[in-house]
Amino acid sequence: MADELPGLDAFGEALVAATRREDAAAGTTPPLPGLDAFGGALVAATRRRDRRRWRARRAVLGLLVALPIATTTGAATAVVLREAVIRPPADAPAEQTPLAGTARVSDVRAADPDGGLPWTVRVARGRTGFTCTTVGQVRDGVFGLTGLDGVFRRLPGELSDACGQGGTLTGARVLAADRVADVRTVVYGAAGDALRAATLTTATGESRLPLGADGTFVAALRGYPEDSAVSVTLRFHGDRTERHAFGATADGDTALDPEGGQAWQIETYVMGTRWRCARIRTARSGAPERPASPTACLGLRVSKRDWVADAATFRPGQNGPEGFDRWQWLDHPARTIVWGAARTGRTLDAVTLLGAGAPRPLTLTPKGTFAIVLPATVDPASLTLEVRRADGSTERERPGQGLTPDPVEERRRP
Amino acid sequence: MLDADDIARLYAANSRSLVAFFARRTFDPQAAAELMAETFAAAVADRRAFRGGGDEAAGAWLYGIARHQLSRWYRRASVERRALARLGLDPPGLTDDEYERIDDLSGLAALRAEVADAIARLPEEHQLALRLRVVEERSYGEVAAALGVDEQAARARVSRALRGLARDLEEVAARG
Repeated sequence: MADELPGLDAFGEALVAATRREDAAAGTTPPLPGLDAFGGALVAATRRRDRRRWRARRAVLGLLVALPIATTTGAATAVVLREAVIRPPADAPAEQTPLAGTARVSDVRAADPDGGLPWTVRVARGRTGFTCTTVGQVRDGVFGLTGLDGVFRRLPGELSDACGQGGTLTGARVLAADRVADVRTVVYGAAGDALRAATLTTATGESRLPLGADGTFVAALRGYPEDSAVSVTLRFHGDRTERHAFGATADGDTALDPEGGQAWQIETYVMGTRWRCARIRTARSGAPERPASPTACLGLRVSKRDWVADAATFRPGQNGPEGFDRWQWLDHPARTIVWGAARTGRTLDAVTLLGAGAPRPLTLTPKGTFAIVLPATVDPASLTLEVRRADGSTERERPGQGLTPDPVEERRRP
Repeated sequence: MLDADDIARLYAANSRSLVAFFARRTFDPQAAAELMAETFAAAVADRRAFRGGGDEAAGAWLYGIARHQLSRWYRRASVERRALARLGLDPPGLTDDEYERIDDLSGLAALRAEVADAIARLPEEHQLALRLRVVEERSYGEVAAALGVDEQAARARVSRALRGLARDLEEVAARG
């Protein structure tokens, strides 16, 4: 579809992927569906009825930055753990299948955040000459994975996560779990012998990663990539550098949690030419409902303002009334949130929070919504926002002013 | 039963026209995109109930679901996301550019012009009542104060204005 509606196209791909997952769970299609013809990367997850089984989920397939040719192919991996050895998919294409005897486990190791087996990456050659990587753990010299059932299973040499050609092969492999604390993001790469340094950057700082043969590196983090805003910067012989950001979404709409918990997503909701609203909720959830704030809405017709914002502390168990602005905090730990919306995606250049220590920038999305998540000890009444408009002018104001209450309630009121 | 490939084909063939269908009835591209998403999610959830054959029958079945979603939207003034939540999906969020493209795709500018013309043909007191209540979103008490009438009369004036508008637009539509 070439009419430049990428949001609708992306939803279509997600819809088809969800349909395949349903079919796989019902046993009507093979559990290893392979690449979808729509879109580039495919994230395939097989959900088991038995909650003790392990879901393997890919956040980013092997990303290639290659000179002169960049091709990325990745085999969807839904890993089924029943036996002592994880079987490779029967229908993997040739370019995704490593040649027997070519797999080499890197000598680098990354400690598991909770003391589990160390993580590493294995590199092999594919049947068509591609380089193939597999993320795994090592126990007693054996390369494999520990499932949520606590059983370690070998990963055979003919199984790979992703294969590609030329340049840097790097990614962030996400291993999902029922509890966010058990989720792992393993940043890995095979960047070739010209690699001189690999620096991992997260929300809490930088660290230099040890390098193995073939320019391999690996790091293991708790949670999802966006929870730590993880990126890796590579420096090569000749001082060429590359930066790969795994924690940022394409929409630039995530905000970090102040206490290292799950990241937050800033939602934008536009109701015709009447209201522009912002809401914040956790970035991911396996449940139908997520902790979410009320909306903060700017009445585009009834207000002459350029922006509005709200600030509040939310505690476990709180929720809102039925209606357009139905919201719930569920059992999430308490947080103080500042969130708001500008008239358009081009109205504001920056939003800064004052009154909670040093001035802090809020995440400002391309759609003009913004937010910051703070510890619950921050008093919303002590906060001020400073906005800088696109024309360079600035303004300071406390949150909570000029908001449009429940837009639908306004229409329903007798 | 429709499988994932059937759903993909149905989406490719109907997603744009469905968005336009909803946009022309809600005047809201974002709501239209969400209604389209919920329609397809409901189709995935109910596909075992589809007994027809071929893309044409599937399209007709899909539009039946769409009309049901639309009537719910009219009643609740919000998009139900039950089927989307069941699939673990979010509705598509639109950038400003996509918002305008859907506006163009749906011919909303022409539709708005027809509505504006129809409003201009209303008696002046009806135009004022509509502007106060619908455009400026005033309460009936405020509309009454602005018009210099009591609240009951204000409600009646808005109601007559809307009926007159609907009648005029139906005549325009019938003339083609």
